Amino acid sequence: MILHKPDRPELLRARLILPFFLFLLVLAACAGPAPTEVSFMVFGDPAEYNAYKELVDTFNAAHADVQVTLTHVPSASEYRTRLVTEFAAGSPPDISLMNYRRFASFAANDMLEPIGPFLAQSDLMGLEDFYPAATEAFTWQGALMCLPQNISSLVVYYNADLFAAAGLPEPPDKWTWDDFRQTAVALTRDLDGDGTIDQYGLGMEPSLFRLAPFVWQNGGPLVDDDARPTRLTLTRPPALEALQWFTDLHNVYGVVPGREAEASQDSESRFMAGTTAMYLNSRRGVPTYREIDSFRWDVAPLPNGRTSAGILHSDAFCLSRTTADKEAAWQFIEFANSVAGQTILAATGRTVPSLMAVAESDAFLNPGQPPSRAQVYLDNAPIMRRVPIMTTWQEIEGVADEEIERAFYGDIAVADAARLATQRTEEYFLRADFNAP
Amino acid sequence: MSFKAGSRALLRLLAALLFLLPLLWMASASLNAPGDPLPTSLRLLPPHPTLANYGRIFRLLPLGRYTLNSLLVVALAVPITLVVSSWAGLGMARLPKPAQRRWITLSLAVLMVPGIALWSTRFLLYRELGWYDTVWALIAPAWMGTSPFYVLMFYRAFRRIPAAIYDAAHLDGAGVLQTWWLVALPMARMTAVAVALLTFVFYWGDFTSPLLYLRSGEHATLPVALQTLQQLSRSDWALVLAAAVWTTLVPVALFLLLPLLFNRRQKRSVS
Amino acid sequence: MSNGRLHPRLSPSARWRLLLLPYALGVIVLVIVPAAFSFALAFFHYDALSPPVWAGTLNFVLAYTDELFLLSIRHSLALILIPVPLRVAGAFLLARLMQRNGRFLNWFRTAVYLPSVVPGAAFALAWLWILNPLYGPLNLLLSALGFAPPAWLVDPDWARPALALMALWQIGEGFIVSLAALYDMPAELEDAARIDGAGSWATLRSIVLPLIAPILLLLTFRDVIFTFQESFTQIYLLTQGGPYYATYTMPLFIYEQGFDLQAFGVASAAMWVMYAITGLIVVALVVIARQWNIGTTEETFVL
Repeated sequence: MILHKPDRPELLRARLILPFFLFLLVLAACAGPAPTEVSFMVFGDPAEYNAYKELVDTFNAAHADVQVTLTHVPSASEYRTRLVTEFAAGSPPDISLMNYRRFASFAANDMLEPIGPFLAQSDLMGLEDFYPAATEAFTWQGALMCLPQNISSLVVYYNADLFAAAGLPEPPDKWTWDDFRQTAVALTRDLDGDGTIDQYGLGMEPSLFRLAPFVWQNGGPLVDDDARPTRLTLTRPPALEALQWFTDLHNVYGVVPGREAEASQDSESRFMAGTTAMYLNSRRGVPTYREIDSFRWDVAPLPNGRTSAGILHSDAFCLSRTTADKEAAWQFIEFANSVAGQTILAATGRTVPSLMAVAESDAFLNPGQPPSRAQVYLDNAPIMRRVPIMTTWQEIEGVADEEIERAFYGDIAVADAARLATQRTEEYFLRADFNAP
Repeated sequence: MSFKAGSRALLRLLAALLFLLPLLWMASASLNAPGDPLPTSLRLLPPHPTLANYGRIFRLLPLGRYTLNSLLVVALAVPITLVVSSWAGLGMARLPKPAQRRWITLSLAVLMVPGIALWSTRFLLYRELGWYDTVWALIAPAWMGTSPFYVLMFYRAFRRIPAAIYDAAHLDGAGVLQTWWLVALPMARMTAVAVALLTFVFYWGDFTSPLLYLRSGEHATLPVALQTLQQLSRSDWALVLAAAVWTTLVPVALFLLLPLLFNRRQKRSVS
Repeated sequence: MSNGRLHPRLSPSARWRLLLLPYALGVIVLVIVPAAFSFALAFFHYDALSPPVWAGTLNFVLAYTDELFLLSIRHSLALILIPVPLRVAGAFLLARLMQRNGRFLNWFRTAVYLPSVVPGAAFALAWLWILNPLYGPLNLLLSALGFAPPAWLVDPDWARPALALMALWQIGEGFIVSLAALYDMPAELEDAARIDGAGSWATLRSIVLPLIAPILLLLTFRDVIFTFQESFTQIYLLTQGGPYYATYTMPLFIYEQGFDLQAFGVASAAMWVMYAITGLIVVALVVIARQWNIGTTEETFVL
């Protein structure tokens, strides 16, 4: 290999490189320490994502030393798979938004840092400022694991214009199962007389989680023991009756779309397009529904059976045990759940705030945007119950959902669905770890 | 034109139309104006055809970044695959017969390994190598020629070159790499083009690698973007299909333009 | 100036073997080691979070007694048994149709191959729309023709036929391979048959098919493997194994066990079974080929 002298320009360049690097070093030293980066993962629709984006941007603007990066997974059911994969890969997000139905396995496997101690030392708020229902849902074997952001529940979203067009009064604050069903029937119409239904009275997911409040309202338990359940109790008469009423909405009264129609265009899209009068959902849908500009909509409570009961929907900020700088991550969690942070989220419509002060403030109750009947969510707080907190609950829901869906669309009888759901979920109850020690 | 030739031409036309039909339907539905109702009768074009959805997909997701990511993946994976698989094919072709049989059997055995057998252990491997959530995890198969099938394709092409040509090259003083680049590869041009195209299509459309080995949106490619979009806007069919059309444009354009490119090079080499 | 020699001391044949090095290394690191590790995991409990625990053959028992596992095998085989022969036959007949010269021939061939160029995820979503029960073009077409269209992907009886239907459009690779094989056939044989007065059907049966058979065998082989093992993307996007497990195949079982339930040991046991079944099918194909005297040596791959 023949060596040759570098040309003059090259030599000049080489001589400049060292001072240049020194200059950069000095510059970097003067700029001060780099901000700590904290990763935060959420799930939801684009509108929900934007809500959290606003929260994160506000925090980042006010804190130079801690910067939060937001990542987003659209599907709530795939969320857990993603989280588990990331924990297994050794690089989970520092903070993740988790639902109380799904956080147990992470807590049991020691992947979360209990948030209780951080909360105890906070100057901005204390445990007593939150709705007990929310904080209890995220307590695992005596320790508060995650800080809940909301205390949402299942409500009925309705299209006020369709009610008016049909000459019906809007749903009252107290109504019965029969009222509910008759309203749905009246609002299921074939508008152009071609034999196919163009407008449905109701839309909802045929799932265990949607069925549960109706089971409770009929006086039945969902599981044999709330603290350490060993099986579903869908085969007992109160639960079975509720399931029958639930599936009759499709099989007997036809107020919800059939399987084909639902697959062709799902009920939530139909609601937003104005072709379905009522839709069952939690507060999660509000940011998306606020984009509706073609009709007026609002919320009503669930109808009451023999008793009244609601079902808790709650998500919380969970801190990973492997987070490098937990204090920095806590700064964001604290901000997000302080009065300031929860007010921002409440304004986006995404949450029913878990801080009592914010929930009872105008930011939530009178935001100047639909729904105007926001009090409905708060009225649910005293009567809401929750599903068991256990490590295998997501699998139990998955299996039970399959059978309930089959009964809902008339593939099998209700009694068979209840029996199959009970049998197929037994193994998951056996394997589970529970909240109660 | 005789009856036979005429009926054959008609059948060919029908077959061609039949195969184009899904693509036409896909493109047509993507032109449905946002907010317009879904079709209740068969139609070629929606009543208010518009390209609005193509703009919406870029606003809803960082689709431009995902497209660049996909381009990066193929820009890396295709050349690496061509080199590795053509080397292996040539190496196999120049082995003595018994050794050739062994390598063929090995390749077939590897071909039979279910892809899913490799998912979780590759995941662990990439984690150890630090490739998790990087483009290297997406192009990793290129280092083994992507598939033994491509190796066998090159093997087939290189075996058909008479041994005399290899011997002549050897006598001229050409080493192994020179023989590969100057003698063997030009004679297997069609195979190389076919492998390049197949490899491009494979990596462009690869869904499981980004699904399993990426986490952030930063390195995501178009196929997972499609899944994300489908989950975000389940019933907004026009939107989802616009993204599908966008994902399809590059490989289809390449495929349609390639023969033209090929013909031009042929003409140049002939003249 | 270097003359392309990789190393001055190596013999010529060793240098040729060096070309195989990247491929060999890649195969070892990316296939053999992960596959061996995967198969070894079949004898452990492993959830990716804690170290593996020895389980003996328990995972195999768990899989065998899981009715979902047996169901997934049945469905996987159902998606091979009829659709694969249809696809290979379709690819061959189309190639035969487009063999002789004619006007616009290249355009027609391009059209047939084009759907295979569409990325799998995009193709799946396009068909999700086409098979839409109420608004999709296929059902609108069937209604217009007077049929009562099925619900396709949401009907347990029609979900698998829907997948098979969709797969028929992606026979491009088989089409090209069959074309190449038909071209490589000596033209004199067919001409001679035609002069002898044989009709096109007889020519096909007694002359063309026997010569093409090795390639068709290879195509069947590859198609079986592909359908059995690689159909994951489309089923995952279209039905997720539903409705009510109608399209639940082995890849889905393995994915679910591994990534949803973190039971990597059970997933690995299922992979053993999958590989064994693939091997059985391949052996069966080879036996059938021997019965019909189709060549099965490495000549098959050179033709």
